[in-house]
Amino acid sequence: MGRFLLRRLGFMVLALIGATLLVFFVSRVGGRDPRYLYAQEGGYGLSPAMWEELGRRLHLDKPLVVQYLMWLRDVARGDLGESLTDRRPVRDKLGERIPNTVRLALGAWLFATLMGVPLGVLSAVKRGTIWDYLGRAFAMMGQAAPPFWVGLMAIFLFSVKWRLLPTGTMGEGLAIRNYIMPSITLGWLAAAGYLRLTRSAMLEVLDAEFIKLARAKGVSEPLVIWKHAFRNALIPPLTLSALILAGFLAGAVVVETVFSWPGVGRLAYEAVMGDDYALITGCVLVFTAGYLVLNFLTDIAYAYIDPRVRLG
Amino acid sequence: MGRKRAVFVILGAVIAATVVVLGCRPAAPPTPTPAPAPPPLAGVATPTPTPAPAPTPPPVTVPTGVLTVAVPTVNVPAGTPRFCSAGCAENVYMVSAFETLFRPASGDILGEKPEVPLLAESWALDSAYPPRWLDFRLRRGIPFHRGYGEMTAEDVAFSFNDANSRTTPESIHGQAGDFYPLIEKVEALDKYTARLWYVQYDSRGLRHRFSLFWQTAGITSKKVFDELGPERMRTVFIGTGPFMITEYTQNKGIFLEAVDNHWRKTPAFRTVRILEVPEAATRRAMALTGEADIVVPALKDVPDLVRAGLKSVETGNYAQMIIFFTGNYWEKKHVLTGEPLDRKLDLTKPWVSPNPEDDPERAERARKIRWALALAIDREGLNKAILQGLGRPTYIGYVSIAHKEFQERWKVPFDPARARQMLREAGGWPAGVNMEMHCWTPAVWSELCEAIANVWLTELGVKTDIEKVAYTVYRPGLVRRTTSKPIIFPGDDGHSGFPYRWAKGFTNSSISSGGFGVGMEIPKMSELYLKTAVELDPVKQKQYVDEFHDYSHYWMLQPGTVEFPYILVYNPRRIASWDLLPTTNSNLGGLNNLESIVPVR
Repeated sequence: MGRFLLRRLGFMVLALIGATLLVFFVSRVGGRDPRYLYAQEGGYGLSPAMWEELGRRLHLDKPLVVQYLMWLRDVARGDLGESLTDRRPVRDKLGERIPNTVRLALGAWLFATLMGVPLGVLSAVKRGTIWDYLGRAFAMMGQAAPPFWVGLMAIFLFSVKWRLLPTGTMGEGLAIRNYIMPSITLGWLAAAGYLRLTRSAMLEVLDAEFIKLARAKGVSEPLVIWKHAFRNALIPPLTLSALILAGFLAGAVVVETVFSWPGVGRLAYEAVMGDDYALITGCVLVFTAGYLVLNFLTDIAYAYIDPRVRLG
Repeated sequence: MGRKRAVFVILGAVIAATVVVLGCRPAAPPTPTPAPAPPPLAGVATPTPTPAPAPTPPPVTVPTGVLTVAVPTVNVPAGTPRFCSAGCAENVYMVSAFETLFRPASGDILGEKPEVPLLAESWALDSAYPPRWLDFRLRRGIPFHRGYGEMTAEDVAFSFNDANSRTTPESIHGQAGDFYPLIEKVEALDKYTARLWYVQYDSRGLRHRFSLFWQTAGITSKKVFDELGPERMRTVFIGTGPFMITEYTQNKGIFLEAVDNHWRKTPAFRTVRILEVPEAATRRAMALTGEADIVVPALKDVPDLVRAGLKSVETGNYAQMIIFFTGNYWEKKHVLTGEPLDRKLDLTKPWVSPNPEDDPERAERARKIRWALALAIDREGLNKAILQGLGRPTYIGYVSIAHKEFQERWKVPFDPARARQMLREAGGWPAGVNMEMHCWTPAVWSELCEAIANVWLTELGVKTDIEKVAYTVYRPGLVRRTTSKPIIFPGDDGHSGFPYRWAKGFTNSSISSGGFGVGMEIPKMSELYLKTAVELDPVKQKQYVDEFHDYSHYWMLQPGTVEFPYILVYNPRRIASWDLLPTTNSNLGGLNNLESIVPVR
């Protein structure tokens, strides 16, 4: 187990280094002076003194490899540079947004898990019945409907028509009502994925010999489903779970826009639109690191469940 | 079995942790550096007599309640002028947290009345010709927020100089590049007199660069800068307005608290929340549900919102969508310095030509190409189909049919047959070359672009490559004077609210070189700008502007398409009246004068 974990950790570190290499060298390709990427045209542009200062800060007088190592050292210290739009540290800007996105992502993840997994089980157990069809219809709608449309329809129905929920914005403090529509909008597609995966995994397990044996021994149906079948069908949804959460952290830009949520997705989007290279770099690194860490945690959980993974 | 139990334990722990994290309160928003509580301000303001009408002393008001506003963006905040980039620079005074030296008179969109003194009580212009300086005599006893003391000429000088990239080269202030060719520096002559030294006098005067009518510097405290330095001042917003900024967060909003016993006008609302709601459909929903009292709507939503019982209010300005045929860099020397200009002309683009004096034949062909394209724009159709008839056609840049000085001869009809004739006379559209156009991201602008391009294709057979990348990606080409890809937008001067006789052509000239331009440098336009800018006689100013438009019309360097109004809607069940001042500023949808709002009680 220890060796397995070390191996996975090694892969994670290698992937992270690969990502930093990619991010760094993208700014240096084509022999173009990277200062052009950093130099935002404000007013009358950069003065010669600022140009020189930027050169010193980016260590442009050093060989490329040394530049990369020095940049990596800065990144490791949490120094991701300054945003070009307001010259604030990228670390600070990300630090303000990440908690907002994490809260939204966790809300969506909870919704997706609590809806998708039980519905998947129900759909499998009641195969061919109205419950199965309803479950599959839910999955199909979730996968077919784009989040921006779901969000706008939710606003139209629940806010404008029925006046049940607030329209948008994060609200003050922990305003649970403000989380409902964004979480459902963000989580629906994932819930549909969970449902389909759980359903197919459950169907496979329910046909297994040990389930038939349990039933033959007179074990009650709920116990057969939840103790014997579900626990064995859990591996695929569990794997999906972390990837979904990582996806929520990086890809909530549409939902954040529709619901006026000041999260990291919108920050990244505006950085791209505003050509804020330093901020884009910071966002990419954070997304990559988040994805790798969650992937690593999944690997650990997966290894606990299935010995073939760590022994293979 | 034990391992599986462990997995369940882990899962349970993750879910529990999720609930706990969700339950956590958000981190406290960044707060400005603590400052002593503001002392009671009653009776502090004692404005001295002014040559222009001054605001009357306010009645005693006790602010109560919350006002909520939904806007598309609040931009990127910064309390330090040099870091307060486009949007931020205007928002701080549009929300009445900072104040400007002057402001327009209520309802005076045409600029027929003098600007109303605000922080300045009077002004004096150098009697030399052209004038070299402009003095501002400031009001006494105007306190800054949070006990930062009295506003003085030092603060005015700091606010302009820290923003101006001539005096602060690293400034990215929204007007850094606009101040550069205009203002040498501002200095304090005494405690209440600030002198502005011109680089180049501009007769557009107070309304242009010193009033919230257009773009200026909001006045902030030098003491904050001295105490905190540029970095730590970023999150501290200290002005003199009727509202104090309590929080200003990118992508979230601007949060304001009323100033009790304000020297000019104590607001009726205690708290104002200006929320960033980027999606127009969400803003519309917030207006309909009453979650927002004021909304900046998409133009297409205005009729429905008004039918639903909301009231609309306009800033009075219409923004002109002008197609600038960029790439025509005809000047060879900088107009002011005489330095040679090394501009590259991309003559593969049929709308580009050298200076007509150098190659009259090529210039004539390019002129006819531009005319052909201008004649193939269905302005009435665009207004009806895309602006729901709320806009109006506009024919050449910088002049509106609303200007009483508008001449019928400047109209450009929708005449596809004549357009095709022009194209033939120009030798036809060159094979293998497409028309190009950069379109900004607002949906309505993109729709305009696509509609115009479609007509060019169907009527003239000219295919257009539409570029929709962010403006910030396109803009460096305008600043460096390298782009030859036309753009559709108002530029700096495409506003119906700009007085007709204002000098035109600053951004069409090498005078603005190094800063924002509209992708062309035209000697005649430079000449007319300089003549108008230093001219003090309104009759002569008008003659020069007439000549500018005649020239612009003949060469068709910047045809107009349509112009559209800035409209806000508000909830009449919450707001009884609101004196929205005329402004050509589009930040926050033109929102201003929040302190004038009278609530329904």
